[in-house]
This record gives sequence, C-alpha cells and structure tokens, in this order.
Amino acid sequence: MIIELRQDILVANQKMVSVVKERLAQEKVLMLNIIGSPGSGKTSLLEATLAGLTERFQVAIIEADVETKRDSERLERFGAPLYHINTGGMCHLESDIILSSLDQMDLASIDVVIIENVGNLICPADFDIGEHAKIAVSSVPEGDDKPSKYPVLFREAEAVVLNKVDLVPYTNFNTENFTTDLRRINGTVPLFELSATGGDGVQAWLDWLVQRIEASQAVDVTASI
Amino acid sequence: MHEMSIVEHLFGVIAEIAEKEGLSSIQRVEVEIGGMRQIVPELFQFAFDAGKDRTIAAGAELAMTFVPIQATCNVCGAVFEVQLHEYVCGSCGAVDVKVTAGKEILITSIEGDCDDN
Ligand SMILES: Nc1nc2c(ncn2[C@@H]2O[C@H](COP(=O)(O)OP(=O)(O)OP(=O)(O)O)[C@@H](O)[C@H]2O)c(=O)[nH]1
Ligand SMILES: [Mg+2]
Ligand SMILES: [Zn+2]
Repeated sequence: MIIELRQDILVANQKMVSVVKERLAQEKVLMLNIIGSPGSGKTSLLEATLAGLTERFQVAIIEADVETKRDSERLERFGAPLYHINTGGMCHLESDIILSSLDQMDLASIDVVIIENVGNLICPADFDIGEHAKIAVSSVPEGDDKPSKYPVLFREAEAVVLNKVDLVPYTNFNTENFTTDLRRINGTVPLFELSATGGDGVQAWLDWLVQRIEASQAVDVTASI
Repeated sequence: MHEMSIVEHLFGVIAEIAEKEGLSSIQRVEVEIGGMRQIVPELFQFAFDAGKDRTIAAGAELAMTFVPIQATCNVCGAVFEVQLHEYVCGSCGAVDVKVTAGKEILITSIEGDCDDN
C-alpha cells in the first residue's frame, strides 16, 4: 500500500512554534534569535546590548551553550532575567526547549527576549524557534567570505552584525567583498559594522533595536484594539 | 549536522502515520527537500540508514527529491529560479525579491504493508 501525502517533517517543531508565537503575542514580547559562528562575538554583542537597553526596556536572555555556563556567568552582572539551556551536544535549538524557558518567565513584565543560539552558521538557521527575527553575527577574523559560504543564514536574517571591525587593519578582511556578497544574498538587510568590545558602531545597532522593539509593540497594540 | 535531527523528526512522523494507517512494516519513504534547507544528501541518507533499524522503517529505502529555490521579483514581478543563492532578479536587477519555493521539508510518500496481510 502506498500512501501519498504532503506532510511537514518538522511538524512537531512547528506546533511548538505556534504556541511560542501565541504566548509572545499575548504579552507583546519581541523575541530575537542571535546566530553566528563560535567566537564571532554573540555574547559580547549581548553584553553591549544589555548595557545599552536595560534602562529603557525589560530584556530577558536565553543562553544556549553546548557544554558550559560561562556565557551566562558573563551576563549575570546586568541583572536581566537569564535562562540557561545546556544543549548537551545539540548543534541548534528547537522550539520545545524555548517554550519551556518561556514557561519560567514572567512574560508580562518583559519587552524583549534575546536568544544566543549555539555557535553554528548552518543548523540554527534551519530551525524556526518562534522568533520574530534572526540576527546573523559574523566577525572580521572569520574572513569576508562567510555570507557566500553560509548564504541561508544571511538570507533569513532580519539584521546582520559584522563584529570586530577594530581588527580590520590586522587582517586581510575586505569589507567591500563582504558587503557585495551579502547584497547578492540579501539586498535589503540592514548591516551593522561594529566592535562589540570597543564600542564603535554599537549605537546604530541599539537604535535599530529600539525601533524594532517599539514597532513590534505598536503593531501588537493596534492588532488588539 | 542538522540532518540527524531532521531524520529523527522524520522517524517520528513515519511512526505516527504508520500507526494511523495500521502499517506493520515500511518498504519505502519519499521526501521532498527545498534548496534552502542546506541538507547534504549523503548525510541525510547516512542518518536515515544508521537510525532506521530501531524504528518501524527498518529496512526501508529512502528516496529524496530536491526542490530548486524560486523567487518572485517585488519590483517587476518576474518569476525566476535562484541559482547559487543569488537572490537578484535576472530581469531588472532588483534585490527586493520574495522566495516562493525552496523551504520545503516534506514527507511525500510511504509504502508499507498493513497488519492484516
Ligand atoms: N577585538 C575584538 N574582540 C572581540 C570583539 N567582540 C568579541 N571579541 C572577543 O572575541 C572572543 C569571543 O567572543 P564571544 O562574545 O565569547 O563570542 P561568542 O560568539 O559568544 O562565542 P561562543 O558562545 O563560544 O560561540 C572574546 O575573546 C571576545 O572578547 C570585538 O568587537 N573586537
Ligand atoms: Mg557566547
Ligand atoms: Zn525584477
């Protein structure tokens, strides 16, 4: 007997995505999914972001780490609610684990949830976790060919951060090559060239983020009237 | 290595369908995968073969079909196939394009035997 069908293989993940999205919409919470290579500066970007946002917004962080809790420890000093996920070897996050983190949060008091996904440019891009936007983080020492080698992440991203621009003079990184390749893959995505640890360019990223948070809150308000 | 995780999801879906349809064994499974899924066929096949024997799909053959990425230009309306992840309209050069196909990750056919034969 042959059964013909068209069924999503990731249906279980997608079901939880719907629940996550509903939960976030109810409480008007924006959720961002930060994706980039190991060491690209995802946690450093979170540090810079928390330093710049926590006065105006309630930010909650979900930290995914394959093994340690080091990244969570680095972020504790900001006092933002912090949820740690040890993926135990998994190369990406799925929506069920995000839902159990959201279950522990007082979402009514939170404006934005920022997730640091597992350091990886391929697998996390393939799993929807109910986020409103994926943010791709790439960094200068990785080389200027990352968009062309990992196009799907850069295509799916709603913003791209090029981190560690302070290191450009010490490498053969060619910013024009990076930008040209990125534009072929995603011609409309905002690009933030910055130094998460040095501070250069961070303000433009924060301004975009503030706008994004305010826009999502405004949309949700009109939708509920 | 997200192929492993996706294949695990596939086994779950197969088990559910087999139960619903009363299948006791499965000979063949067909899947359809879009070009934006970054699936390496060899890894997907390997993960399927390595895992299938502890599932109802033990011994089953896997057939994969890959779907090209398609896009529509938001400026001139042209419909085109995205080659080498270049999301640029071939007709007018616009980069404001919408992907309309290529994200599929579907099971499209299961061949098996029922409990009673
Ligand atoms: N020079 C320079 N170094 C940076 C910058 N941002 C981060 N780093 C350094 O890069 C290293 C890795 O940064 P992390 O923020 O831990 O990177 P990550 O992406 O969170 O790493 P994983 O979580 O392990 O995947 C650290 O030593 C940072 O201090 C930057 O803008 N400039
Ligand atoms: Mg980190
Ligand atoms: Zn066009």
